[in-house]
Amino acid sequence: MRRLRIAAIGAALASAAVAVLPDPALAHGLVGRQDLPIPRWLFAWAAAVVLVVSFVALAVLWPRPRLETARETRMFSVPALLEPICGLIGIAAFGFIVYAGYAGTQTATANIEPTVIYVIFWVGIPFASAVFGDVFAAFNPWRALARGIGWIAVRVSRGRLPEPMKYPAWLGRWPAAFGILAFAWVELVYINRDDPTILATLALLYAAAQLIGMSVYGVQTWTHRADAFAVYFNLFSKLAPLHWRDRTLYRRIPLAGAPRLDPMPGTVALLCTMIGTTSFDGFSQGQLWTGTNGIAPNLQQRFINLGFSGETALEITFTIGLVLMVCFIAAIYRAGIAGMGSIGGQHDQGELARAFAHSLIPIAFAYVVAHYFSLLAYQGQAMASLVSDPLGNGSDFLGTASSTIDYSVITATGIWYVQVAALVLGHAAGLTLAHDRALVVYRRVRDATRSQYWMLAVMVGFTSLGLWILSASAQ
Amino acid sequence: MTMIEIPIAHAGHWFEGALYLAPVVILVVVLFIQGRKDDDEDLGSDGDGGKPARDAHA
Repeated sequence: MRRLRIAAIGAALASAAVAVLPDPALAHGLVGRQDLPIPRWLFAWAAAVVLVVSFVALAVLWPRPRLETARETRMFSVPALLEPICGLIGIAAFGFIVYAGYAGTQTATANIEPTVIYVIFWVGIPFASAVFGDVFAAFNPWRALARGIGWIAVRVSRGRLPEPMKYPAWLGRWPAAFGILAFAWVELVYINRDDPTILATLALLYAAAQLIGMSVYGVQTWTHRADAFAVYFNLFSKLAPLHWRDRTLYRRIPLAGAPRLDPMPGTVALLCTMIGTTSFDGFSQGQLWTGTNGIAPNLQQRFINLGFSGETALEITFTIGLVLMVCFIAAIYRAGIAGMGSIGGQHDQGELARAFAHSLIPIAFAYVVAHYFSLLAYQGQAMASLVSDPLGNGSDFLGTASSTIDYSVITATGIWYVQVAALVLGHAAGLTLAHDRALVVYRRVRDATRSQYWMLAVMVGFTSLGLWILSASAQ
Repeated sequence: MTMIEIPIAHAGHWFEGALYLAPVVILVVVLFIQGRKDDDEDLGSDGDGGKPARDAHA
């Protein structure tokens, strides 16, 4: 995905012989020059003012919990047959993408597989989930496969299958957190991140791990807690005004699904991982990290001095950066929680961290929009040519193989405004969710409001961090 | 020598970075002062200083 950027660091040091091709189409930085009426840092100040005004408005106009008790309205149900059909579509799509990885050209931009994985799957589905609900659940290929195998096994064994093992409560969403961190490592750190064959192998390994987990702990339990992508997309769907349950579609006010998040162990870690990995994606493009005297080249040189190759040293450097950024995000959140713990008497910090974890969901989504909107807007267009020539072997099934990316579809200035709007709205939404929960957690309105001083500081901190990262990566 | 030159050479970058941090610092200071004032008020008053959150209505 960001092969070009990392290759630039290696070239600058003349030590990392990163044998890669420049890939501007896959880079998701800004295209063109931004033409802004005020300095970029002033947007951070304006965003802080908006959040403070939102905080005051919530304190005055929102005196009792509303989202916690919001109701859903049933819209319609779909036939049961649709479920296996969607599952089969998911399995077929997964199978084809893996096939393309092995059988297609190994040039990343000409093979449909990397674009589907990094753009449509990783970025497109979160956008769809936040609007239409958990769409991935219907098409989840490994879940569909496991359910299909289970359906056959029950009939073959005549119902004598053993019960799944009890999922350890302490494990919670930790497997999902590690899964997302692992995917982010492949996307942001791994040198061969764009290699279609390696991506196909990793996809198969991930699917195999999910099938084993589902067979041991049960399909539903594993999918809801440990399947990293299912959990990841499901979290974004909690912001959506639409909600699918038992083949029935319900509508609700946006954000109302978030308070229903079960704050099991690993949930805070997962959300901090989501925000931290996206933050590192932006941060690693800035001068502070990649500049001539930046952190990455200096750190990489130290590892080279220890005897590592240029590539390995670069991967170690980026791994350290990735993990530290996740820890930094977790530290900001825990600092806010520590402050909240000092208000209103006896509240355990772990309990508070879990109680307010759902307020991080809109922030995670805001970061996804801010960092990847341009990628979706530009590289998403590449699908027009890739579906026509998915293997990159010169075929033209739909007559669109020669279509190109229109970079004028949105200007760099337009992207900046989308990014600012996403960050401000996402953090205002997080503030609203936290305020709503505080009214439940704290006995008095006064304590609830005072506890949110700390959450306001956290939200302004995250907003400023996000804008600084975006600004630095755009320079 | 190099260690000293780097931050000076990039003073512009550091200054702009500090401008992003400023709203957070200002807010934390203001909220800290406000929190201390609230604590003092709580000590001054005896007992219940506000409506229960669940029962509070606009």
